[in-house]
Amino acid sequence: MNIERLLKDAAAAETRGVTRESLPPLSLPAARRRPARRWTAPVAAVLAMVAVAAVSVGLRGVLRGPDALGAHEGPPYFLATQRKGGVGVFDSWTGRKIADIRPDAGHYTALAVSADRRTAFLAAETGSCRTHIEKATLRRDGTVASRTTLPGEFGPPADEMAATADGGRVALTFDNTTGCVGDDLAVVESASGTTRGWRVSPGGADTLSSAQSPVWAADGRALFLAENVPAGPGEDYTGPDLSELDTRTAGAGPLRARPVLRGITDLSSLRPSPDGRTVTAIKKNFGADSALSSIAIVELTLSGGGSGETSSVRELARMTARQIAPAPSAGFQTTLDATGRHLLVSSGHDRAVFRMDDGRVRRLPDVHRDLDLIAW
Amino acid sequence: MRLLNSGPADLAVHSPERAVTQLYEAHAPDLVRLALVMVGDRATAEDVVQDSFLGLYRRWERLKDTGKALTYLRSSVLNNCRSVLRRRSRRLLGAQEPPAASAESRVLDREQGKEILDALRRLPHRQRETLVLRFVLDLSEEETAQIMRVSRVTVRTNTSRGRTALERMLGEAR
Repeated sequence: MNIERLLKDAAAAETRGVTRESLPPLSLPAARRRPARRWTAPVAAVLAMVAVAAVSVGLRGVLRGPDALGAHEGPPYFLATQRKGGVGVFDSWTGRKIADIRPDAGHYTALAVSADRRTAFLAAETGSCRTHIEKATLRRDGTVASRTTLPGEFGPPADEMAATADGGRVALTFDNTTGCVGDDLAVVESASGTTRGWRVSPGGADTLSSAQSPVWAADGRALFLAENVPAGPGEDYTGPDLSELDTRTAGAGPLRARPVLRGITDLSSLRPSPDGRTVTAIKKNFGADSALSSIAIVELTLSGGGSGETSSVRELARMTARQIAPAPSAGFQTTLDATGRHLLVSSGHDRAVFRMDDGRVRRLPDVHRDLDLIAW
Repeated sequence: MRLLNSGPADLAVHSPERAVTQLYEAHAPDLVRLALVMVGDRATAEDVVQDSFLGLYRRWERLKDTGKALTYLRSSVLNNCRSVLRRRSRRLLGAQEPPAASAESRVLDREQGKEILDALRRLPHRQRETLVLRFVLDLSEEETAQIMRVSRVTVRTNTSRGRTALERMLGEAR
């Protein structure tokens, strides 16, 4: 089979309609006007003052060294995959890199960190249909104390992971579009490597047909999963549903879980509250032109009776697209910390990372890159 | 679909508006084709390319070597495509229907072309991008490595793995 030829022909057929004449003209923003000359002197004076202040602050910074970790609110560091490979541990206030974690083989496809910040899990695709889970123990300053590979191996590459608050267990969902054989969901005990797996069953009346976006309840026993439910004929698509799986009592095999919320379209990074009554999530809002207009932290109430009703959405904080950059809609990665109060946003367009704490937006000064997978 | 590896030689002496517009006129069709193969629908592909040119325009004054503008653009288009695909899959929309193909592509190569491009889009993004740059854009290993900011060895590895995975997927489908 000549893959090169097949690809070339298929691409040529697919793109035959793309011609210079068929493309819209390039739309660039209007050039900024220069300020009139009469403002030159005051502007220069202000700039000089700012420069003096910046130099003195900079010198103080140099003498004092980098900010100590943990001095600010929220998790002190986060993990993110790096373009050149491996995972970096970054100071979540300054963006300064603290440590590098590189796989012995392959590349990382999913990350998770426990709420106590001491245990990180990294799923490494080490070969064709071979995935291993690494466990890294982190010190309080974010440096790596030890690394081990958990026993066992998975076929399909890991798609998403979630760690319990104490790092005792990790849940994985898998990318089963790769032709590799294996479960759709697995829960691994991090101390022993003992694994339980479940399969989704499309079309099953009382079983999940897909499993995405795993997140643990505070008790480390119940696992929340998003299930995409396609709309039936004549129905409006309402988005995925959120279901709850009791991992201690549920048997292996078909994945049976209790629906707790209907229609969670456009929500991501779901974080259940400690009492299990509400869930905090990120909601991206888009304008009529499909451009990102804002990123909000919202709260939804979970259905206790298992009916999984649609919840009203209460907005807790909002970051507008203008606050982070006048950038295009593509290329934003967002994640909440375990408490749901702190938001991290990576802008691929501007290679900048921002955080929002109780509605206050701040750019991380020492990170000038876009992040792919983030665990916070 | 062969692209030159550098922009016009006199780009540096032009205003950013003129230089970027000149690059757009010269290379937008090839970049839209690249994006279209990656994301599968024309409107998104055009948006991705517009965004990349906008990014180039904003960074123009900071570019150390304007002769590498095209490398920057290709890399930016791939990054934006990756973000679009990631957003599609991670907006919890799950197994949404792929975007509708153009009228032409529905008529042309309906069976085999669609099959191979669907299989291509199921590959891990690094393998997918490597195959598209190497075999669709006919770029060398060196050029592909520069755009993807990886080593030539990685390009070779991703090419081999991607090719094997595609063969397997296409073999299973038949």
